[in-house]
Amino acid sequence: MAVSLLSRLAASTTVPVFAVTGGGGCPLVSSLRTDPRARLVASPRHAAVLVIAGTLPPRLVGPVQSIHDQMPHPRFTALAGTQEDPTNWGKAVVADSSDPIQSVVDGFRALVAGRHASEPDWLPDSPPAEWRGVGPFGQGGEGMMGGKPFGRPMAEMAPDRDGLMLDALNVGVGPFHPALPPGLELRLELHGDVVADVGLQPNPYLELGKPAEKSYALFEQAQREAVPIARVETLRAAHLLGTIASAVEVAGLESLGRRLRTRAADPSGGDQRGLSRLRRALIAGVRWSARGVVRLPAEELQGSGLGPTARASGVEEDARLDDAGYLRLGFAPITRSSGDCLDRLLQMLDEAEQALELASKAGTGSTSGNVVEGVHGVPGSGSSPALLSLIEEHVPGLEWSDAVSFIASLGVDLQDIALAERRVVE
Amino acid sequence: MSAVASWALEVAAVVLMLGVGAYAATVLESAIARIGAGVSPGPTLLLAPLRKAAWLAKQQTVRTERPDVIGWMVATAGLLPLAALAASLIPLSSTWVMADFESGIVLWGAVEALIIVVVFLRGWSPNSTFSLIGGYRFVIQAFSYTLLSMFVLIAAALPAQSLSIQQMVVTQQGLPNLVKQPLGLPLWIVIIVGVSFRGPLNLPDGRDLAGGTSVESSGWDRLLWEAGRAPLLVVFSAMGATIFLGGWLGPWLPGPVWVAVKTLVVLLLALVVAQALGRFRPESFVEMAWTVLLPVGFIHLFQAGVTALP
Amino acid sequence: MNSLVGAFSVLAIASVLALSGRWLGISTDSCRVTNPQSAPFLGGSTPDTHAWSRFHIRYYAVALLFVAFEMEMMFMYPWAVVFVEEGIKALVEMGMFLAILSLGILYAWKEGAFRWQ
Repeated sequence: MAVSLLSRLAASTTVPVFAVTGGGGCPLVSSLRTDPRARLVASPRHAAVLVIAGTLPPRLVGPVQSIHDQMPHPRFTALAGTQEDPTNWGKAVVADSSDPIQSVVDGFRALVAGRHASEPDWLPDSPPAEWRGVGPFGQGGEGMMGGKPFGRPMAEMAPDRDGLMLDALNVGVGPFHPALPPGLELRLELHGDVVADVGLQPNPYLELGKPAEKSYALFEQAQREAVPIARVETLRAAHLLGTIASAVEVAGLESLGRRLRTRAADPSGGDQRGLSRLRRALIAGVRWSARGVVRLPAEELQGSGLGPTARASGVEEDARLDDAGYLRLGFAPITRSSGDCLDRLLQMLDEAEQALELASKAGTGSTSGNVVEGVHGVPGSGSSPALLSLIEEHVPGLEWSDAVSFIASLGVDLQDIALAERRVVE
Repeated sequence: MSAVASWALEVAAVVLMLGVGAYAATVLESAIARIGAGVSPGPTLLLAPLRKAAWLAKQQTVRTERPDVIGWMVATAGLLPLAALAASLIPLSSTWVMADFESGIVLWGAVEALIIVVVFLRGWSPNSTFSLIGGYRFVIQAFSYTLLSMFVLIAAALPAQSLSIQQMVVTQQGLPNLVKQPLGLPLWIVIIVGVSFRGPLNLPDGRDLAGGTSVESSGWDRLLWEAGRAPLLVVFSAMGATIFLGGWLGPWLPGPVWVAVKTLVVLLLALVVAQALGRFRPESFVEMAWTVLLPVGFIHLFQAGVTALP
Repeated sequence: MNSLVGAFSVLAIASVLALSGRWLGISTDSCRVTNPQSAPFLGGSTPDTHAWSRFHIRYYAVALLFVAFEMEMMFMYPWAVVFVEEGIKALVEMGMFLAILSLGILYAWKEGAFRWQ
């Protein structure tokens, strides 16, 4: 009786989900953030359901397997929008494409009620190092200091900033760290909580054959032919609002993120007052965490084509300035001056507002059909990988939370970058 | 009434304060989050913490490869007793206070210090990078707000001429400390948010650390941790109500009701602040605490001292 | 009622509750924690080394400052009790004490103790 009551209560909780994003999975993950039936959690330890959204490139399969195995029992996996054979993923549930979140909820209820068995590990249950017969953990030495306890050596010493010899932690972070863009995998040398060195792993989404993200198709189309300005700009506003939402969620402002996402789902739906309320909440919320963090100098971004990131530092470059369709609307790029994390977020909000204004003014007007400013600048110009080199250049020396806010303020979207890089190759 | 019966009654009051208070605080927190997100709170929130707790009770409690098992267990289980100990110090009426020490705020300070140990130990035990960073971060966060809390408590002790918390309430008869020491409550809000690490001061368990000291925590372990964190929020709010809003003092209603009402007011203030602000940078909070808040604490102490003099 | 008994009984009851809850969590788990399950979470990567290390604590100077102030708290407790009796003299004395410690803060600030990047 008591046990069944506990089960019934447990089954009716909002479903704790850890989501991993494959090609084309962004919209689902974004809707998981706003859906009241589920909540996205920061660690697989807090999750019951692993949602694999979209098609995973081969590079990401290993990490996803290890994340799956880190989840506590009972657990299950839901595949949504994937083109893969589900039998590769054990007993994973294939989510209904019309309402994938409902499939996740139903699966969770069945799991808690005991109608579904919890999924076993996907990886072999073997210790990271072999049992060597010596020491309390078979590590081949005494205590923590000898050999490799549990297969991991102790950290090596490295000179500290203050001239001390302390341990440097070499860790890989990502590709699915909750505060980093999906797919971004960093190799860090950590000195305490300060990043001493950073290296980026290759963009995993480059391995996918064709861009699956439908929403990008319009920007791609705009490189070849004339498309309605209203559509391009509405899409831009939605993208920018979504990017700000991710950044504020990283800063712990879940509610503001949700408001931004609601607006991003229907950018032209609300009024101007709604946007200014969002602006006030944004400034109040992130002022302390974003102001003065990583000022990017204008000289560094001149000619980089980095779109909002460059304009936040005062670089007045915008491909829309070369487009007769936009000039007719009286388009003039917005810029800011200081180029810190706060400015980058406000720049994106300004540009979202401007995009909506352009969309409403444009009527049936079209772009001229040669080039259009993309989400991160000009797609096809090879600009977007520059965003990644900004990370490599500016993250060393930052405290980890600053590194995270900096990366979030860049609006890195590895799927978009893969698209841009592929165009260069073509 | 026999001594045992009155003891049982007082234990029940502490349990009620922690249990009901923490539950209400959790519901309020999610209601404020919903309102902040532009969604109506809805009645489902009332059962949400119970449902989540039931789920966590059913979840497996995992451990990491080579954890400090004992440290982990002690740390997770340590937060709730500390909150309970602090709760026993709060006077509920002129006669009703479980632990009426002559030096009440000294014990309060000890609880604050032990919270640092517990959170650090929890960050350290799982032998996991992000959890470890969370633990070390909390130490400096706590070093930065603890002094402030000591100044606020000492300032409240000046007019009482005593370190007893009950005495601090009694001397607010007539005029509460909120009026006599106007800087105190805003400073105390910082301490409430910091000690229960929420919102802007969720440095140890933040999203940038994938949950920080809770990154490896699941099942009962996580349930107990949250069941210690929420009471801390309530108990520190209750202390704020006691030393600034006159605790149980008030007309018509019995003392415990006044404590509950005033605690709710302070709690709401703290939750709204925590909801509106993003997580601070550790560095800038430390700098702000030492170069802005601490001097404000000095001014507060000075002002309270001058006001207390006859 | 004796305050000490009250405080300690509450502490003991809560500790027993919490520890038994934690113990319950371990004992009721039907599944063993496997090797891949126990790897620390890093967003999908596996760690090269143990996390326990000689950690670079950037705020050690602030920690020292904290110790200095905590010592000062020791003097403040008795000071608070006699403050009203002693009157303005006590205020001036504590003002001097705090002024000296504030110089310490100013010096640490100037030396960049509150920054660690």
